[in-house]
Amino acid sequence: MTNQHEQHDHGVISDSRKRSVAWVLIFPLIAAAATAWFLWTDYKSMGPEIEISFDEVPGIQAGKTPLVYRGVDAGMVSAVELDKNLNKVLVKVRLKEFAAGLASEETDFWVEKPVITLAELTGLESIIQGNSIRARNPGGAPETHFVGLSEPPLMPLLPGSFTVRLKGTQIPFLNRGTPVYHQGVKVGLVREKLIDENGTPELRVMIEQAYRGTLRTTSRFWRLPATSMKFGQHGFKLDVEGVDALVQGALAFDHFERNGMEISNEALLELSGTEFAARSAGRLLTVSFDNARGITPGETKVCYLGQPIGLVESVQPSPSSGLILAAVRLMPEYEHLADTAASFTLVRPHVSLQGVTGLDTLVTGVYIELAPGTGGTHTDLFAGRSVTTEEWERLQSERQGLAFTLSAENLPPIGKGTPVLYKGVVVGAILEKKLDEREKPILNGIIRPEFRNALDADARFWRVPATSIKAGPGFLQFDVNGLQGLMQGAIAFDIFTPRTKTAAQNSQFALYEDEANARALSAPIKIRFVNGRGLSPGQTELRYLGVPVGVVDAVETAEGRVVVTSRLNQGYEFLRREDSFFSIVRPNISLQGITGLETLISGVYIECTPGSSKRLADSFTGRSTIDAEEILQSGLTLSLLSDATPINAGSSVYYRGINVGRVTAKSLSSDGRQIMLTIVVEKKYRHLVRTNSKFWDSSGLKASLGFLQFRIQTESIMAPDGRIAFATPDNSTMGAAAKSGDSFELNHESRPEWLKWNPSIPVGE
Amino acid sequence: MTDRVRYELSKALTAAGIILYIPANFLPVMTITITGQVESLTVMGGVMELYDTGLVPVAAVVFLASVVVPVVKLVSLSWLLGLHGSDVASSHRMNVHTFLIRIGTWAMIDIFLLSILVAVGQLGILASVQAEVGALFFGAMIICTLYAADIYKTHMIWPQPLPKSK
Repeated sequence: MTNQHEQHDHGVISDSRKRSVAWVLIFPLIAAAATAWFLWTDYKSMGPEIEISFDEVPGIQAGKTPLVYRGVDAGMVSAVELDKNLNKVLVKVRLKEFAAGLASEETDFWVEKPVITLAELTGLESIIQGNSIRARNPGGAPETHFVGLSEPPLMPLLPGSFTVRLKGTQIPFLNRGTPVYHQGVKVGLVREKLIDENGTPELRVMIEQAYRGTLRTTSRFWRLPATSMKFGQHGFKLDVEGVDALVQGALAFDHFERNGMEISNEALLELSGTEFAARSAGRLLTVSFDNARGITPGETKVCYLGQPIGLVESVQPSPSSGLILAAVRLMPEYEHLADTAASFTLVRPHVSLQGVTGLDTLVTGVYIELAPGTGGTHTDLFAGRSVTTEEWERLQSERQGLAFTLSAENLPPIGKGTPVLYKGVVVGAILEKKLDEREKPILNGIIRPEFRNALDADARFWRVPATSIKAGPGFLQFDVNGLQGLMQGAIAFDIFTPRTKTAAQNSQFALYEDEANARALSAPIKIRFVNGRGLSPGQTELRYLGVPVGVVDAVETAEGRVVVTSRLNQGYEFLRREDSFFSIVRPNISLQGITGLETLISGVYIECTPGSSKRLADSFTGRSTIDAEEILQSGLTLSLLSDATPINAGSSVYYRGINVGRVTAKSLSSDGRQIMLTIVVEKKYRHLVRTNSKFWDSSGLKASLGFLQFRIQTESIMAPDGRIAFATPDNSTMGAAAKSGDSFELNHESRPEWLKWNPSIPVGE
Repeated sequence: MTDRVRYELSKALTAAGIILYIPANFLPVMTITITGQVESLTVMGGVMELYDTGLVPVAAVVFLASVVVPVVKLVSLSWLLGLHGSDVASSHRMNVHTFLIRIGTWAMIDIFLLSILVAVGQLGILASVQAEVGALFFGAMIICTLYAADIYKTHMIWPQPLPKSK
């Protein structure tokens, strides 16, 4: 029973132990299963192992560096080894299972590392995350051994970009990564810069697929310089084409012809230096010059009516003849101008002592002017001429304008380019200054075609000085005839007579010194003077009532006299009357006063006084007196008689302290016993002189010494020449009005009662 | 739970711990990324890393807790369980077992350290710490050994004669 019981119990225990053993085994089973499952999935997630050879693998570490494809961890470097020859690095990469497709023959692998240059900033994440191995473009048959790229590709995600090859004579400043623009849009990059088998530099440009359609067979590429500076007549201009272009420059392309076709991959296109060169893509013309000095290939432009329409591509001497052959391309739209009737002329700047002409060519260099003709036939070969701008302009103007010649005695500042004015309008220019066969300077000028009717056969030319100052009492005129006139003066012409007929081509004209000269139309008059001091030809004016009426042409001496040749302006012929007289007005500064002050500034002038005769004369005797005015003004001429007097001609005559006249002459009386002073009392004061008026000498110092009194009487200390005073008695005793020619006694001093006279003298009496 | 069940369970857990010990030591327990330098560390690698950095005391503690303790525990447990029922060195086994219980929790220091590192070490792209599967295995292994040691009671060392009779 007990045994049974024991056995039974034992059996039960045994059973429960068996059960509990089975139950307990779940823990190690779970552990084993988890481990096994994990190892299995780990193994499953492992793709194939590939081997990539690199030249160098900076920063690549086994077990740490990932392989990245499109930004995704696609594997891990499992080993980094050197090959047997120590020439290559072999990197073993365990790909992840999902990236097993990368193990195919077309895949590119490269080491991504940060590139920080001025032009390029890539792989920034590598700085932080470390270098990595990148892959792109998988495809093809499975492969496990690869050769890594030495440089990261430009467009990792766009393996299928479209490549064109560019040929250019020189491709500086262009590097891997240089952007390519089409109408301002970045459409590609320079992929490679190399030298092809012919030794010419070649660029391989990658264009994004999306923009492939913008490329045509007629597309022309040109360089956009990093920065371009233009310095010319329009000032200073600095172009910067974007910041990236700033550093590395850029390429641009466009097509200037319509009929282009789609381009194939790896097509060969041309690279031009500038946009203009790219535009000048017409057919190649050859122009021969005997002297190509100044022509720069790629720079010298072909202009038509001043606008650039083409470019010189190259210059080389002709092997057979002594000519220089310039290869020229025009813009396609102007190509039709180049036919057999067209002419090519090389225009050069002209620098001379007279100035610089063709200043634009100095800045822009020489250019070739294309003058198209009509009725020509198609040709590619031209004979060019070379001229200076001067000649060229003359050629041009002769073709169109009205040429004339001016002769003159001397031509100080007038040179080529001096403007020709008509009523203030620039109607032409002086083209040339030279000596004629008689060694006289002549000017060749041209009137612009639209003004050719303005030049009359009787026109008169004169010089307009650069600046002129006209001054006189109360006016000061400062003329500046425009900026151009300021620098070199100008030539003006006008017609002072009724128009006759328009001048013919190459008419001859005389050039006058100034407008006054030119206006003086009539025959010259000759005036004789005793003294010609201050007279200068071309400057001294003839005036009538203060108005200039003519000008002195020449001053000569003849028979001990000064002969002044002058001309009177039109309308003043009445001054040539036989009995007209002419006097030189000079500044006269003395203690009596100042006269002719305006002549101090304007120089002396010749005052004209017309006579009354009906006959005209050509020859006159001039006076140099200063009293002409007073005579004219029909003052009262009187004679003063004195036995002796220090008073001289020019002394003043005073009435109650007011200057009313002047002593004009001092002479002996007819019998020689007395001194006769001729005085003139001005017209407005003549009524003051009556027959009983008393004249006395009031000049000098008069001192009287008395008791406790010393008195100096000075009428005027200013009158060392002496002065004459007079007084007229009170009304009852004054007598009749004095007449011209009356004689009076000149007393040596006044009497006190004379000074008390206080008459009231009416004017009209 | 009978002593027999405890014994069997302890044996099973120890076996599971031994199985788990392999991946726990060969798989990385964490990945440290410092400025792009990715580093996957196993338990031993972490100790080496700490030692290389110059943190020798910390390395020593972690080495003790993460490497020595689990190994000692597994070995001791195997020894204890292998000698279960015999009376060889019973008093030694009892001391060992007491020691096992005492040091058992220290093994978790590694997991604790990892938890803190993962929680704190998130500095964006500059540095980040991530726990890897190794830690899971390691933690599971520690738990297994903990329970294995705990379930196996000290008195079970001493063989108890079956109640042959009352």
